[in-house]
Amino acid sequence: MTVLAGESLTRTFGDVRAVDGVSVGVASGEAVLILGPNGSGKTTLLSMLGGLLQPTSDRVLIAGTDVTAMSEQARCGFRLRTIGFIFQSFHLLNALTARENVQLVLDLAHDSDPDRAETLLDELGVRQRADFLPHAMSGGEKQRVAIARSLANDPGILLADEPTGSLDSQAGEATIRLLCDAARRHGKAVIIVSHDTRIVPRVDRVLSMADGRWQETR
Amino acid sequence: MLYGSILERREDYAMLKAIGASDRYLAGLVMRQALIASTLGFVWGALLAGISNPLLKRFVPQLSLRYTWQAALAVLVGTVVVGTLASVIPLRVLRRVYPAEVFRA
Repeated sequence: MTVLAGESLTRTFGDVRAVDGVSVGVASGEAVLILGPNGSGKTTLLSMLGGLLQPTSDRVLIAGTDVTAMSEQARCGFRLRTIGFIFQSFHLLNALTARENVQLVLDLAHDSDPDRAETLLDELGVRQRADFLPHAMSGGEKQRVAIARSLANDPGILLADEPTGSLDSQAGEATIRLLCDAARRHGKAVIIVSHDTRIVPRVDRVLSMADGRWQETR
Repeated sequence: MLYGSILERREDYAMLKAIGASDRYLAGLVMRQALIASTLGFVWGALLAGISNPLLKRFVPQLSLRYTWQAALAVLVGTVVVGTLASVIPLRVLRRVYPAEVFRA
C-alpha cells in the first residue's frame, strides 16, 4: 500500500526549478534510494515529501492526507507522529545524552513509556552509550542514536538525507542495513537520498535524479 | 544574549522543528531561558548590592542605600518582566527558522 505519494511536485527558487514535475510513490515495507549528484534536487524533493517545504505546485499525500493543505503547525504535529528523519550530520543535541536525545521525541509526543528510549538504543546496539554525550561517541554510534530517535514515535515513514555521508564504509554499511531492516522487518516506508552508489544493491528500488527530474528507474 | 543564542543554535532549532517541535514548545524553551537568565541576573545583582553597601556605608556614607524586601521584590518583578519582554525579538527570529534548513546544515 502506498503511504507516501508526491504528485507532479515542482519547487522553484527564484528562476531555478530545483524540482520539476516529479511524481513518486513509496509503499509500506519498501526501501527506495533516490540517487543523484549535488544540486540534482533530491534533498529539495525529500524536504517536500517530509512536509518541511511547500511545493510551488501540486501536493504530497501521506497515508491519504494532503500535507500541503495543512497549516505549518498542523504539519509539525503530523511530522511528529508520522515521519522519522535521519540527517547526514546526525543533528543530535550536544548537551543531551543519547538517551535524552531519543527521549526528547517521546516528550514532544507526550509518550510516557519510560523504557522506550532504552529499548530502542538496545535494539540499535548502542545501549552501552545511553548516558554518553554525542561528542564522546563515534560517527556510527551517533547515527545509530539518530536512527533510534527517528523510530521513537514508531512512524510509518523514514526519510534519510545522505545517511552515510559522514561515516566510514563499515559504519555506513551498518546504517544502511538498519534502515533496510526498518523497511523489511518493521514495515516502514524508507526513502534514502544519497549519491553513494554502494547503497544501490541494498534497496528495493532506485530512482535517479538530475536537474530536478527523474532520469531513469530500476 | 538570547538573540545570539538562537542564531548560534539555529541548526538545532531547525532540527527540532523538523522532527515535530511546535512553535509553542520552542517559545516555551526561549521564555524559560529568559526567565532563568533574568532571575540569575537579579540574584547576582542582589549579592553585589549586599557586599557593596557595607563598604559604601563605611567609605562613602553619603552614597549608601537602605534596602527593603519590598524594594527587592519590586526589582525582582521588574527584572523578570523586562527579561521576558526581551525575549520577544528572539521569538520573532525563532519563527523565521525554517525546518527545511536542517538539510542545508
